[in-house]
Amino acid sequence: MTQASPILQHIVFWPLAVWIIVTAVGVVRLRSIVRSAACLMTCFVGIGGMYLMLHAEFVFAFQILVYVGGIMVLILFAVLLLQRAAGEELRHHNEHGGLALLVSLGFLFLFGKLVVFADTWQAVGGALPGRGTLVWTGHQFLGRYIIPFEVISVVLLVAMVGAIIIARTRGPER
Amino acid sequence: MSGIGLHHFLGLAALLFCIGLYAVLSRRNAIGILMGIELMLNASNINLVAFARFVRPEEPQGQIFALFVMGLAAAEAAVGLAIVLAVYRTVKSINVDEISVLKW
Repeated sequence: MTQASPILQHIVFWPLAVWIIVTAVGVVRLRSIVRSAACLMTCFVGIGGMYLMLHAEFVFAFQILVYVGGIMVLILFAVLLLQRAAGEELRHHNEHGGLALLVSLGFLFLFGKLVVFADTWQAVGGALPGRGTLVWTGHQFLGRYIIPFEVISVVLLVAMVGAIIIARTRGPER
Repeated sequence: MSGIGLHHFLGLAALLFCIGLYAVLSRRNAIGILMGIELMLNASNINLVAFARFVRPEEPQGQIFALFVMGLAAAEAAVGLAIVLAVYRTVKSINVDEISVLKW
């Protein structure tokens, strides 16, 4: 796998990063919850682009399938079912906006400090060929990571049954 | 001019995580809060994949556990939205500051 030139990397990275951040801010600040959900979907697509940049092709495919295809449909269905509650309203944010901003900026400061002064991680260059492909991921899942793989299948089954039981209406009345 | 390195991805993920945290803390709407949680999970995933790519390219953990996080996020979204639906049916509201049934 050849390494892309640095200039090309910058050309791909910065627009993607701006795209992700702008749509994420849209998720937080937009008044209409439907528009927020649309912003979230474009944000997920941008993050998928980041996975492609990191040579994680299967993670990219999974991102599009699970997030854009699955979770977004779930959220949009919930918004449609709760249209009266999620629709036009005066206040979409609570009264602790300033405090929330303060806490978020504090966390950003901490993370920024960690990232800037992170010399404990020795970055080695160059992706190994064949990493992140479907065949490689399948071998990992059914080889070394078979126990977590089976456990997460059970977790997904339990979550699915639980979600159906919680969300269904009981009895004939509605 | 050096290329894009680990720090760029870590910085982006930190920013994304803080935006998600702000959404969780400031939104009134339960669905908006769930969307913030999804943003935070995505930020952690970017970190996992970036570390897998730049620090230990020979080990599979980063990408594999990013996939596990995605599966758990799907389960979390399904159960969370089901709970929101059930709450709406009882309280007739999904604004979290009006849902205070457990608060005496």
